Amino acid sequence: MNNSFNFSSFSRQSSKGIIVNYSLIFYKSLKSSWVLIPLFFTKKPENFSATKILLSIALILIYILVRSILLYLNYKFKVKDNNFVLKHGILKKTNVSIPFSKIQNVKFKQNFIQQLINVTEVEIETAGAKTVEVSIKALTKERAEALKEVLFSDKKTENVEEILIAKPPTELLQISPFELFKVSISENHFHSFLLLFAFIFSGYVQLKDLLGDLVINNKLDVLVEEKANSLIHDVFLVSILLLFTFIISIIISFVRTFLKHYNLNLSLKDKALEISQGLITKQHNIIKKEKVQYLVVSTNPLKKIIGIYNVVFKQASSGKVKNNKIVKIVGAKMNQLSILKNILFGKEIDENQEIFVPNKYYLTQMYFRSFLLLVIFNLFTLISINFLFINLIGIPLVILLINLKYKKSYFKLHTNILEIGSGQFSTEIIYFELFKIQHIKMRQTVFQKRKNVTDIILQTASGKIKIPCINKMLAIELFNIMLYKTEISNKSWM
Amino acid sequence: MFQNAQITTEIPDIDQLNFLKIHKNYLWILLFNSAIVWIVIFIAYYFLIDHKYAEIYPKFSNYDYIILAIIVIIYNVILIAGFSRRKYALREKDISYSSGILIEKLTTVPFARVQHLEVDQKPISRLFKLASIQIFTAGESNDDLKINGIPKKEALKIKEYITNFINE
Repeated sequence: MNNSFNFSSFSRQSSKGIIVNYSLIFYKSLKSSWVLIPLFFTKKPENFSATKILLSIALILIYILVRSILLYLNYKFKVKDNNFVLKHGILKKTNVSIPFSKIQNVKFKQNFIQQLINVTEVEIETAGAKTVEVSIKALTKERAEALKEVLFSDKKTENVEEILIAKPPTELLQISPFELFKVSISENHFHSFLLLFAFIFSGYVQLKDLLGDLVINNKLDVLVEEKANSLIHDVFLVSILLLFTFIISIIISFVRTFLKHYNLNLSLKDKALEISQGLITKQHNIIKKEKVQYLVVSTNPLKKIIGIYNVVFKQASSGKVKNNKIVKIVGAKMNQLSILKNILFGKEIDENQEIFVPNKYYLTQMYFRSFLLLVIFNLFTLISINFLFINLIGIPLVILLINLKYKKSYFKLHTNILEIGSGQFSTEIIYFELFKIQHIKMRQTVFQKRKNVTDIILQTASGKIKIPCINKMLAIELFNIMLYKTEISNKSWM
Repeated sequence: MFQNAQITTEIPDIDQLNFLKIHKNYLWILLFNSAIVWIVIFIAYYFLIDHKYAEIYPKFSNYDYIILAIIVIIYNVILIAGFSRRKYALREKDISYSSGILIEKLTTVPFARVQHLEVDQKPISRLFKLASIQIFTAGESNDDLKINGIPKKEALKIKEYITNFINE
């Protein structure tokens, strides 16, 4: 343990924190007031003299400076009796105390400015009824490491021997830029494609609102109206737009993957997984084994050929599932995956376990529901007959998706682990420790009752998992086993 | 059915729960609430659609009140029929609640996962000395377990039992 730092009395963060605070407040106020900026230009210029503008900008900058200094001065923390104690607030003083046992995750982050001035942001995450999130904006790297060790120290005192043999971290996974390239090219581009399409569409609508009165727009409308009659022209225009969107969405997938997962490194240290990744904002996560609620392994046909998998660690969260509680790694190979599973669950996963698939009624249910949807879509044909073309692509696509979904859903019950498969184009496998359920629900519609099948919904501390349409007898047995394992277990679920 | 079936014989079976029905007076409260809602809807329909905006919204038909009445009847029939399905069961280490007629639901919460409990009484429930008990677990807490319409004494007893279990 690093003893050169003492956390027993109140101390402030590094004085560079003022710079970080300054940039954060500056960024925030810019973000919230950028809407006002065009106002300056639309108003008549004689109301504004250059000196007035400069003076007001200077005043705002000074205000931000004073505020960031005060924030810095009033932000103190210490460690006392296995509690992390934090005092902060300029006018409204807040006193936060977090017991070590409630700490779920300690994260290191570095945004662009923090990298420039060489400080680390430390985030302390907890889970429970109330959310307490602590974020110390600027610590030196060494001090941050020391703080992390102190925060995790109570776990180590339980078995003293392990501190003595301070094992160096074992490298599990390291992703090179070339491998990341493979990951991003095999990404499901459909997702970003849809996002982009929605973005372009909404942008177009907003732009149209904004330029409502402009003559150019009127001309454009006339132009569009003239051409709208020719269907071939429409199809041509749409396909060019689609191709264009598709190329951009591939580029976006690339940028997103590289920004988030650049230099991905996964290692095992003191029974906790350490993950660091990111290009501009470096993310550093420490995941304690017992805090992982369940594991999602996903792949798609393209990734399967290359032999790579994405892994998501789902951790306990309070309220709505926040994105930062979900840690994702990409490009794991088959053997790395099985090492990871061994670390988290021991050698419990037995590939030869019996596979249980949903009842055939699941297919009927999905067909029936999509049929209803299709009927609603076809009501649009009353407005324009062109909507009939949707059926041409829609019906085969829906049938394909339904059959894929049915084929890919299954579950296996290992001794202490439930393995649940799902997916359509992609394949997702969830590994879930039986005793970690929060509550369990059986749901049966009147139609399901006639077929004697039922849905099972498992509530975990990190969201719901649904096992659809399994036979009632099987469901009851699974229900009993899961409850039994939960009730006899005295392991902590987080 | 499962390969490790040897344990399945000794574990408690959810299919053989001793369900307790909720208090029958709660039906009156449910009907009263439903009456208030439907009266408001009728009044709103009468004044807004039928009178004030009659020109903007043409009447759908001459039978609109009959259609509305049929909806009310169906709603209340489902409510009454579904009432007997509302039942709960307490075991040594968990609590279950089952309800629903169109969609039957059975939820079980192991006491070991309970974060906190609430027993509350709404004004009308107070007249009948009924209370509701709500059990929260971790995660999205929007549909944890909630049992309405049990005698207040019973609710407090359950609360104490579970609280003792957690604190042990």
